[in-house]
Amino acid sequence: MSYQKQNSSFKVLDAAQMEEQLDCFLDSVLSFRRSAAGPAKQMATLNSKEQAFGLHWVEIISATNAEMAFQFSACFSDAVLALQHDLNAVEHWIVEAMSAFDERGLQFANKVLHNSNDFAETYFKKQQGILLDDIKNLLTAFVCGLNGRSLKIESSDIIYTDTETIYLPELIADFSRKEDNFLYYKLLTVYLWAQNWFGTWRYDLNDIVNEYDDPVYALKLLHNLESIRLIHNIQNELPGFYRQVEVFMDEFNELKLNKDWNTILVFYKGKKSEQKKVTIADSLRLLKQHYGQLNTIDFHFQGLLFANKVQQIKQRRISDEQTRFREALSRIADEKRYLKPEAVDVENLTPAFDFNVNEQFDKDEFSDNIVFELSLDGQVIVPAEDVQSLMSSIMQDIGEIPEEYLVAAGSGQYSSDYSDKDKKTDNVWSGVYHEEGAFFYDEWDYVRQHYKKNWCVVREVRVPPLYDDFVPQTLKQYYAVVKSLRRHFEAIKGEEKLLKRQINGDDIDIDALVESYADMSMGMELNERLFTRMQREDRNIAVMFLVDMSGSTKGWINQAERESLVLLCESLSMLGDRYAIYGFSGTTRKRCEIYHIKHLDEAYNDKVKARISGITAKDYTRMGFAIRHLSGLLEEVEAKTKLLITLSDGKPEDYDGQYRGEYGIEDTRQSLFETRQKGIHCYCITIDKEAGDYLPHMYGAANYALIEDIKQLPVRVSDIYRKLTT
Amino acid sequence: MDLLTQEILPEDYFIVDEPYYESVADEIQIFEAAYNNQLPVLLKGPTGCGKTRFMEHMAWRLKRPLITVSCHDDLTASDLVGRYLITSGETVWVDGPLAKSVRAGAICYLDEVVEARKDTTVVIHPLADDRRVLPMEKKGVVLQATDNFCLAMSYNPGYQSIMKDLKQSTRQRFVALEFDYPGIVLEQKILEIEAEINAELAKTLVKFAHMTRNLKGNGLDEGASTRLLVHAALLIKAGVNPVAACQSAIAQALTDDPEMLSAINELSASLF
Ligand SMILES: Nc1ncnc2c1ncn2[C@@H]1O[C@H](COP(=O)(O)OP(=O)(O)OP(=O)(O)O)[C@@H](O)[C@H]1O
Ligand SMILES: [Mg+2]
Repeated sequence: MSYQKQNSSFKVLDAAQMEEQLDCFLDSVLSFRRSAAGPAKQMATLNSKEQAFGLHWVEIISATNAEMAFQFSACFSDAVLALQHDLNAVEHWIVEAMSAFDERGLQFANKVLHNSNDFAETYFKKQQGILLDDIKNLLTAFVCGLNGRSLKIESSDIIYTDTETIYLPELIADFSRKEDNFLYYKLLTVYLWAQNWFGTWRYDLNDIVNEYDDPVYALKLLHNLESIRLIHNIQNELPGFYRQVEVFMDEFNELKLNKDWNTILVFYKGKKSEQKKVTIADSLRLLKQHYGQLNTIDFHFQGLLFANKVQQIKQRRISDEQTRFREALSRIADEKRYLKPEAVDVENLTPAFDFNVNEQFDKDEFSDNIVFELSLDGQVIVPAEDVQSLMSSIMQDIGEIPEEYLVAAGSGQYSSDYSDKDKKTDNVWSGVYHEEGAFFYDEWDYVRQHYKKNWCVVREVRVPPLYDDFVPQTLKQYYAVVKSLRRHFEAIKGEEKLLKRQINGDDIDIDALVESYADMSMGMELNERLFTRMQREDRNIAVMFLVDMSGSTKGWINQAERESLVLLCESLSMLGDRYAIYGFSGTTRKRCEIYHIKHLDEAYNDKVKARISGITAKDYTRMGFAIRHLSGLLEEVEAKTKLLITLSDGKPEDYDGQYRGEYGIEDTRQSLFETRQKGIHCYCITIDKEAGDYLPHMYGAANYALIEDIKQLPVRVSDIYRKLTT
Repeated sequence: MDLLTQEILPEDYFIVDEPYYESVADEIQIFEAAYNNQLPVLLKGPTGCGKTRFMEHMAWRLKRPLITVSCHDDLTASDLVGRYLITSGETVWVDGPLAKSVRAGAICYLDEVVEARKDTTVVIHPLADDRRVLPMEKKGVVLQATDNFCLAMSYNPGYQSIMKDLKQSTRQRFVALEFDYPGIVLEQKILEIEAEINAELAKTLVKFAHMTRNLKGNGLDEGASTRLLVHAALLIKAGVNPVAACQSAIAQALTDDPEMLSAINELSASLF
């Protein structure tokens, strides 16, 4: 086409030339009353590279929807300006618009197109900012390492902790350097962790501040005092961290200059030089002393004290943990009794538990130096790890293990509310899951060079078993093949092999010895290889077969696929390797179906045989989702070698027409590539009489073979096996 | 070439200088009692918590040679008992480490015994019960152990898989000693003495170790062992920056996962 030539020569188009180009793509939505002159005029102001970029996308978008392409051409030059001529950014904007179109229609796409300013604002923010999602795992691990009860990290508009979760903003982009934004996340995280670890929530803060005339002021002041205390503790415990975040502490450090606040700082310092820990009790005392005298400050990092939420969660946890702890004690007591069966009467005795902590322990200050001991009938016991962490969680909440906790739960109380609740939520979750039964997979759009998020809706369904004589018939028909297959696979199987003529080994290789004695007496050099040795072979393989059940396999290909499966199952069962078989087909991205034929650990039984026989040609061939689904399943499996073998006629297409041709080929290629990256070997077997010239490209990351006679198939598969496992 | 003269004799396995070992509980006393009653000993515990060091210390204390065998998945019974080799045209029997220990009345320490092939139990079992004999099938003889001989083995319950668990019939022959990382104070002391570092640094390192141990089961299979702490301490003493030392000696040894590595590095950076 002519526009392409002009693109490559990078000549700037004037408005008239631009309009001519736009007309080519937008023809169908233009009329007497609506021409491309306006957009063309605007686009004429851009440089040649930007013009070429714009036209390129007009073409792509017009293939999806011409009206959207027209709107795009009208908004393009504005967007280029808003995004400061950063074409990479512009591309993000386009992709967002197109996803909006895919997911919610033209109206929403237009909204994105016409609001490039809004897009630009968040885009630039995100560029230097950090998204919580990207560092959530890191922060969770970091907090877990710091100590104490494990805390989740979630995003929220308000920064706070409820003693179970730390809530942080979704995005931090206040600083111009990425590192600083990250550091600030860390500061918030450590500060909120410190509230949990250093006992801010030991008492119900609502009760405390309600004793003052102005509870709001009291809570604010207490919050300030606590912040100072916590920062002070952090400084002691994590000096390296404090040095990193000191850049954010100007406001905090200036407190020294304020006479009133300085007395507080001096108080904490004094305690430190006395080697004493500062606790929440100190802050409460200071609150009483200085109430009404100090103006409160809004430290930017301190977020909110959400006393109500904390109280709710804490109440629930405390009662849960008391029950769980008492249950644990009763289990421990049972075990001890079990070990001492000679004490007959013991059933009627109440086990006497006792709890001790090392002396210099302050109830308000839970720290990692605390050594606590649980004893039963005077003997110290070491509880299992889960009970230990339960104990530290209780200590963290109330600073001790009170008397009433140390009574083992009576028998019959085993299933407390807690575990019941647990089970129920579990059930509901799995119930919902199965009802919906859907998995979602991304699909690769090569035109846009992006994944379409959760594009394919995938369900696992069953093949109706067909109980007939297909399997015995096939075995009979391919009697010779089966026999040679047995031999092939027998050789692979190996098992314990006796290696002969080894340099050292378990036993003398008599043959070799006799030979070398003979050699020696002939004056020849002695052969050292005189021993036999057993060698074990570890086979640890998981294989999944993915069978094309699309309409195009109808007839001989379907027949060939089923016969192949029978022969393969026969061979694989002999090897004892784990293998699974699934089929796939579907109509449009909303109805992608995976047909279960045999799970990995299912035996090759009559039902499986009947399902193989029941495989029929169904609808269309959308292949990417199926490969993604199986590679996901394989990823979960523990095996040294993982293998995904597809059997298909190699022509991806779907009803909506979109998956035909290059799109489908590229998505399939991409999905194989993803699978390969998971360390799974892919092997694609195409059953057809002629090879499409696109096959090498589509199967890029995978090995593939074209066969037209199923007699070849088992040999091929045993070849793959040998290559992979020996 | 005479293979026999190349061998190290059991006499050379005597430990002359006292190996530094900090007793954690009553393990020394129990081991001695087991030894004096000819009972075999099983050491359980995570990697790098001092099992090998303990064995060295006990060998020194009991004045017996220590012969250690690191078990691997190709280790067979004949690797332990011995085999025929050909030297100058003759087949010569060469004792394996277990036979050698039995003859010399040494302490034989089988490290990570679950890794060894299953047929090794054939020779371990009769040695580990009150028969105390080593059957040498190839030679058709049975070796009777003297009172000095002691069989000890180590086993890490954390890494067990169903395949590689220790059989009941094996474990029930042994007196078991459970090892774990030493407590805060003791571990600090070990670092101070073993790596010759100051108390302050030792304290921080132990604190860091506890941070990584908190992550066990939450992204890490195992936290930093005492051994890794000693390594880090030695690097720091040699002038390496503490955060870098913790990264190389500890973090990288614990995981390859980039997210966990960053988290661990953030933790060490917050301490130093
Ligand atoms: N109680 C202890 N006294 C002195 N040193 C110790 C002690 N515990 C551990 N160490 C130090 O830790 C290092 C590692 O210990 P050792 O090699 O004995 O571990 P291990 O338990 O045998 O580990 P593995 O199971 O990996 O073989 C020792 O070299 C020593 O420096
Ligand atoms: Mg060792």
